Amino acid sequence: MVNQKRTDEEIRELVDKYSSLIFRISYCILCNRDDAEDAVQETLLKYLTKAPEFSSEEHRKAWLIKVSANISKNMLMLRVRRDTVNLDDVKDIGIQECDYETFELMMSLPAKYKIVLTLYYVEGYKSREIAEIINISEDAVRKRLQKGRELLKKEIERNELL
Amino acid sequence: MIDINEYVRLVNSVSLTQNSKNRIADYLIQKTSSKRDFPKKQVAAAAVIVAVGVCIPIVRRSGIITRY
Repeated sequence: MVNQKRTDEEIRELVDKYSSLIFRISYCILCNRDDAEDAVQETLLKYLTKAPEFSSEEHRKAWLIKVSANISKNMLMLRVRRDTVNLDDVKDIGIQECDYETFELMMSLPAKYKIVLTLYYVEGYKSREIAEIINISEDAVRKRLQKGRELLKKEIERNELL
Repeated sequence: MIDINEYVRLVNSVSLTQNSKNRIADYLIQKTSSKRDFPKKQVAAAAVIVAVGVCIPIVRRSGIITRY
């Protein structure tokens, strides 16, 4: 168990290093800035109090992603589901106003597709690694990737027709 | 036409502001420092003293330990 005392400076470095990664994953699931920030807090608190020893940096990152995805999914079950993203929230998290509509369309996809698309295309994980992180089969990851791409294309085409 | 590259670009630009990072760091420092400051050794020592102080008279009075 990692329970050694950490200085305030070490905690700030930890937040600087991993918070944006965890926030991206949580935001894709929760579609809300405040909730995603709460998920970051809970994930890092769990890391500071309960994390196992890690064999590599990749192992540590995978653990953080897995825990943040689980915390976010639990929060999603307990809180009001949000199907749209708030414009003010979106500006605060680094999305330009001109990209708002596209981003909103992307975030309207079901969470199970967004998390796989994000881990594969944004974070650069392989299907096998994603399968281990989110605890599903490699086949299921590939199917979700395919379905996610199709849904994204359909949503965007439908929006262009309107 | 928007494709998967657009998804990557937009999701990749999602990040926390420095203010939010500071707030999270402050929360974690506060949460972990309360645990760090907890005087485990002193509490354990006090518990042993109390237990010994209470148990010895009880055991003596009960007659389990007798002098020969």
